[in-house]
Amino acid sequence: MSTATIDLAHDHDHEHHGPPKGLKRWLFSTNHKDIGSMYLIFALTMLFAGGVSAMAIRLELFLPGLQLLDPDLYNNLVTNHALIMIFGAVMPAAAGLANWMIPLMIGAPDMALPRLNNLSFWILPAAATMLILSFIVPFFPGGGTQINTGWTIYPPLSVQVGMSMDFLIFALHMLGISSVLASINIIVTIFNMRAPDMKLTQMPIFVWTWLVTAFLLILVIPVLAGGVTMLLFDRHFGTSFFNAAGGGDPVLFQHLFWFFGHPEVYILILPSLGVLASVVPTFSRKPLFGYSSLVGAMIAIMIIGMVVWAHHQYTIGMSLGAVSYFMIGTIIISIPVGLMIFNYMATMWRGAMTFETPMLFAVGILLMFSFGGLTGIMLAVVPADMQYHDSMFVVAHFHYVLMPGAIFGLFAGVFYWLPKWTGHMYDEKLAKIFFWVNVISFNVTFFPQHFIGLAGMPRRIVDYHVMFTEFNVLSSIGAMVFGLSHLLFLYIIIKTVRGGKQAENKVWEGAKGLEWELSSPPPFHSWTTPPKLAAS
Amino acid sequence: MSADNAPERRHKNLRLAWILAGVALLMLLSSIPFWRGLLEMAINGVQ
Repeated sequence: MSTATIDLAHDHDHEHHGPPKGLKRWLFSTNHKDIGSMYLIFALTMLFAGGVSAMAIRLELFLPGLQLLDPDLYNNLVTNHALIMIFGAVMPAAAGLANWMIPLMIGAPDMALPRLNNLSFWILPAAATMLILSFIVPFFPGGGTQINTGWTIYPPLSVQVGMSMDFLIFALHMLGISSVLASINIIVTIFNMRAPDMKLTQMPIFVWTWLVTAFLLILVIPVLAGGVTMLLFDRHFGTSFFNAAGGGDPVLFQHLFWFFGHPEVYILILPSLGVLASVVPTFSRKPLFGYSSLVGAMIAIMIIGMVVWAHHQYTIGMSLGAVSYFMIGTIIISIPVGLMIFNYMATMWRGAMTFETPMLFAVGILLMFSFGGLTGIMLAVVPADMQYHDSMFVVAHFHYVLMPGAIFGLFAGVFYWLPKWTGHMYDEKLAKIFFWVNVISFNVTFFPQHFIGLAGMPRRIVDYHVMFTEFNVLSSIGAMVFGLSHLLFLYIIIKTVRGGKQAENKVWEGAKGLEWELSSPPPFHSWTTPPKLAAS
Repeated sequence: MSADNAPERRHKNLRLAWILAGVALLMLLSSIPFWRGLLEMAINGVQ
């Protein structure tokens, strides 16, 4: 990879004009660092919005019976928590990292299409407004019923919901356009803007993960767009794509949704696993164990991940041949995912490891994401899934996949690169406190949900049997601590942005890569002259 | 400078961007005609 020595004789520190002043700098920005920062701030805001709805859900489930929320509002919150977290928090945060780091890592002066970059970002606040409106319009006179479908918006229920569903469909269209435009930009940047002598096989793994993710987005987001467009037509223009009474089939929507929805899981986790490829070698002080096997694994995940979608729908009554295929395919995908995990473990093996906060998150990810992967194999097995389906076990499983696999990876990336972005070291002590509180409370929240799920507690139901009380109390206490712990994360970020010990250019002793050759923070315009890579 | 503005590079970037946009459009459209039979059923009723 591109961790070769750099020819520093080249001028890459042009400051012939600085950033524009005031609001213009942000509204009309074409600078990848500014746009990256805006993505990250937006994602953090949405993380708190999605977190508030999660805490409301867990407060309701603290005890059996109806406590705070009526069933419709509960279902509304379940829906908006998922959509806000996926489309508002994780995807924009990953895009923020991509914007900040890809040009720095490949020696490009900026993204290939800077104006498109601006557009991709500024669609997001408008889409988020529509998304949030879809949850609150039912509270206004004439606003119709609340969205009670969950994030999967299955018909026929989604056809019957009031106008809030139209807001949601419009929001999904806008979010999809933003994602596709950003993906196009990322792919073009990676293919066309690399430093002249950087081959594809020399790129950092983080860049590779984003290349694969961007292709996945381009391939699957339009299918979601097609599905929700058909839903819109069923709702307003008299078609019956998903209406059995009119000759349609509601299961068709499930296929379209999960053709998008399953690769979406990899879209969420791949960039974070790419962050680990920078963090683990740095703090193990060893080169990455297997570069080409990691790249191969990612490509395998992309291909296999696109053809196993129906394991989310085992209970719809598919043929034996179909369920067998989807079961085997799903189990096979654990091989390349396992390859990535073992690659990182082998990188750590006999390394001179230190455990700064990014590394703590990396180790946490390997442990907890692997655990989520194991319960995923349980769910992949058809007869077992018939029992687990739609239970709290599924909730526990996908939170063990997505919290460590996506969000902890983003935390690792933020702590790893924050000194580079801001020029200040973060407070390591506070960051470690955040890690431990966050990880312990995460496990207190979600580990018990495996057991209440196996014992029969269904998900997406506002009330539950009294026999599940103890574990739900535990889970809710964990969730409150977990949610509030993110205020500490916010404090650490603000504190670091405002000041702190000056960061060196190469912040971490074991770090390698082009980004560490630039100053901390990097100049507003970096790599105006492409860097020259010495022979690796 | 916010990007490499060399015309040749710019042309190359835009060409690839349009190709990728075409792929996205193809995925969008392929998800709809694939189910055209269902649309026909929806409009004409089950024959």
